[in-house]
Amino acid sequence: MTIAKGDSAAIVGASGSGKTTLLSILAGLDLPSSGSVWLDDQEITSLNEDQRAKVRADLVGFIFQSFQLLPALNALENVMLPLELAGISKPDDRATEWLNKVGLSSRLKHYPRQLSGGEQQRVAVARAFASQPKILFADEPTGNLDKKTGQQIADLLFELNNELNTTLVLVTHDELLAQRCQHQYHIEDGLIGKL
Amino acid sequence: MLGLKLLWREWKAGDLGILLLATFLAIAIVTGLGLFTERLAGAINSQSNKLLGADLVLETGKPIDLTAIEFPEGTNSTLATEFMSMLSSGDEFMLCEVWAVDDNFPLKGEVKITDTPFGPGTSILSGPPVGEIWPDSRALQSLGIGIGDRVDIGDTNLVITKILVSSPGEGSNALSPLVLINSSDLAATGIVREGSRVDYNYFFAGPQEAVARLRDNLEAVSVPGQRIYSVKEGQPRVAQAINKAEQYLLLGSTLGVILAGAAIAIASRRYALEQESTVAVLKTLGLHANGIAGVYLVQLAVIAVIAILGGWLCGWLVEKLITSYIEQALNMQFEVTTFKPLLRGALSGVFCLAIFAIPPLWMLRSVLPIKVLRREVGREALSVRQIAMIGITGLLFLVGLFTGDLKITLSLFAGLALITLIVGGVAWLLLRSSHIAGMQAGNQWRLATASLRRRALENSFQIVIFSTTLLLFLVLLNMRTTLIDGWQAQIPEGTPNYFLINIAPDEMPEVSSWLQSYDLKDEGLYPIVRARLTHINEQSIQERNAERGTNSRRDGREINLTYSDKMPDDNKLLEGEWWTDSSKPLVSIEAGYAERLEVGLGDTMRFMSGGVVVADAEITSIREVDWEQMRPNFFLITTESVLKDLPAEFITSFYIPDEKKPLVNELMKSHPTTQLFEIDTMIKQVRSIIKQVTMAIESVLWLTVACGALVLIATIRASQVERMQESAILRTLGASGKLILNSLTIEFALIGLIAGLLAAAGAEITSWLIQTRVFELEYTTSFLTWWLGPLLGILLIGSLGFLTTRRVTTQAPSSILRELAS
Repeated sequence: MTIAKGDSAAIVGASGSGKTTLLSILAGLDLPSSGSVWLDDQEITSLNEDQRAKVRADLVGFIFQSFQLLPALNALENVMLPLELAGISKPDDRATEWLNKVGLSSRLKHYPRQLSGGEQQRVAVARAFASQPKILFADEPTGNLDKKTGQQIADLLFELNNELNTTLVLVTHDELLAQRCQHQYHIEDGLIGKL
Repeated sequence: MLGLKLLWREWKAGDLGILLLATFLAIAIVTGLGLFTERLAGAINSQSNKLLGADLVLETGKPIDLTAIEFPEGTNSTLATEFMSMLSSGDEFMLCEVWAVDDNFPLKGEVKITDTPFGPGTSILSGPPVGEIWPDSRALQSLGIGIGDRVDIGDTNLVITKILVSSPGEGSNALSPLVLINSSDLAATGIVREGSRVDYNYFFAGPQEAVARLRDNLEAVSVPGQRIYSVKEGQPRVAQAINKAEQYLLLGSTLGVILAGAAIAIASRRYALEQESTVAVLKTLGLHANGIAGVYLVQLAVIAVIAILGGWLCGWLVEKLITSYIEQALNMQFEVTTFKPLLRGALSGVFCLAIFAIPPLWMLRSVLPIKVLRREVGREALSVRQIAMIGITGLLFLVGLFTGDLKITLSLFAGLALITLIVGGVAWLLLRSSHIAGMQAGNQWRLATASLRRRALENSFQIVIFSTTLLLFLVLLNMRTTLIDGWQAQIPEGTPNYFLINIAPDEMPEVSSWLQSYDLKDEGLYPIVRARLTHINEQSIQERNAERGTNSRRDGREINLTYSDKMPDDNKLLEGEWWTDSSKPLVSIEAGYAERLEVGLGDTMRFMSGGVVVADAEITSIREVDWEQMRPNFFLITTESVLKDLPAEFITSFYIPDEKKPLVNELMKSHPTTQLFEIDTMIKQVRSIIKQVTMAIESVLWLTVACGALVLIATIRASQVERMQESAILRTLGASGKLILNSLTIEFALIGLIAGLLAAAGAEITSWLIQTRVFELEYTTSFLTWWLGPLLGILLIGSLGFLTTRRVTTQAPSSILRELAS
């Protein structure tokens, strides 16, 4: 399975089929029992956890179904976090810029629990794109949102993806969302097939 | 910075609060206690030293060569030569205790003098100038003279310029009037010659360490018959109070720190569990393991700094509050303390954090980032067993450091381990069988007991913690009560504050009726015969001493004998029997005196009184005397037949409240030959020490209670999530909020009841062990423990449980489930 730079790929399949496992292996969050994964010309499966963390900090952005914002940090701080970890200068200016981009300019100082699900996912999107990763992994990005909000988040995701020419890999149940990707992979009984 | 940001927000979540509070309390306890005991001991010592007149005293029958002794820097000395001598003025004679003091006298404390007999004294920091004499009011009264008169002492004649009220280090012989003269006049009296009975009291003072070194130097060259003592040996009552208080405070603070450590451990573990998802996100975003460790170490460092500053401030305030009260109430000055207690407090807090908080937080380094996608994924980490081992080893080290005693440390741990095992086992059995009772009861009881049973293991663990906490509290409370009651019983209200001596036999009825007429309670009238012990088993004391290589002059000195048909109530018979036939020459001896003279039952003693030899009396009993009692106490009590032909005087002690004190003048006028002396000052001093020690003990108790409460809160919070989740599901299924709240309260109250009962049983055993083995006190069962333990358990744990889980009924179950799921 190869995903080229700037491509978007969706992984679909039934619950328990191994979508999320695949995503976590691709992103270097987990290791496969056999085989290898290459990200941006690096074989991440041969790296240790700290080295993989460095790769994630430099190359990868994430969006999760359950948002995974740090409850202790406000919207701005959540977005600043990957910028700080990657050692990017003026993280607050850039984070503010990205929050403006996702339409949350008035919510900078709000904490996750003060935001709606849609707003939280917007923060997550801003956080994912802020460090301008080469690859973005999204795990059911609209899974916890109502249809309308999900639609808005998906629009935002693809809009930013196009703008930045990011490689996007997403796992979803949502066929409509999957169809918006250039490639669709189906996973069933541990086997991956390209649709 | 990330660590600080997270800290700031997580603060509100609560666990960090417990962590901080527990660390803060540990530091406050150790600091406050350190400051307090240091100051208290310093103040008591300095106050007692003022009474003693020095930090160290060497008492000897022969003068020593001070130039042969190496004096550490900062120490100084003075010599008071003490002897009995007859003072005379005209036809009046009076046997007095004379102190010839040099210009350095007194080293500690003040001499109090007055211009009017029995008047209040003013302080002065020297003895009388050359050519002058300061007799006390009793001597003046007996001689019938006053200020400005001259008095003969030995071969010289001195002028009375002041009346002595009190002098530091005063009198080995409290029954005789005391006079001070200047040592330059000593030679002129011609009293001190080869063979005369003289005590040379060398007083030494200086910084604590220098005095300790000096003591070593003195002890290295001391010979038999010399006695070296400081306040600890000099005043057993004060020394005992200080020692027991120090032991208690040490034990209390150790337990406080153990509890604080437990609270830190429980709160940190919960905090670490809560932080796992945050760590997973941070790792996903690219933070490496050391970065994670850094985040949490920064948090701990900030907590440590806040706790140290707060702990110091609190410790200082508590100590200041108590000492300023004491300073005002007792007019005592506290010496400036060292920084040691501050350092010790800070180190204890940091150490507690290091051994209890770092291990669980360190485990966060190994949280796998995949956890962000899969909640159920475990981590490679230190096992609970490893964490427990680190905690226990660290605690052993800390307690060992505190107590400085391996035996106490190990016993404490063995005790705690045993309690954990027994309490855990019993609790588990009780919980497992609780459903039998629950099945018979209504819904809420059934729910509660079902929950108890389902979580029998976790609940047993909680009960172990609750009941150990309650147990420690009950033990401290028990000991506090025993100690304080014991001290107060020594000097209850109405303790005799006057001794009346030299009562002639024909004056007895009048004195008795005088006491009765003013409703003054006396301790009985005892006959006194002054006699010297001359022979033991028909061998003279001198020969005996020479044979044994001792040079104890005191053995040949005049002592007070009394006779009685019955043993004084507060004496305890250790060996032999009390006599039934008082016609035989028999004697009963005090245990310590018997030990010093190396005599036992069956030995005989011969006395000489006023030139009359008193027949050999056989020792038939050995008594323990409570010298702490303010009443006439005797080394030797004989049968009446031994002393009946000798002239006796009578002695009694009685209590006069302040408002009736002027009445004593009336007594003195009608019985001018009797002598009265007041021991109010001494009683007040002992009371003041007891008061300080009591306050210290209570403050330790309350600080320890606060630590215990934190442990309870931390433990309940640790089980909160699961209980909230279950309750929310029950509500979703249609159970009413009231039913759930009632069942939760019942569940916690039952846990509290079991914990309380087990704690009471454990506290009884522990208190018995500590009081009989460590404090050497008599043990009595405390009923308080048996009702307070279960009651506290039910109330504290029931209400804490209710408070932490009541949200389940006020918040929508869906929102609770959502919150818990995220």
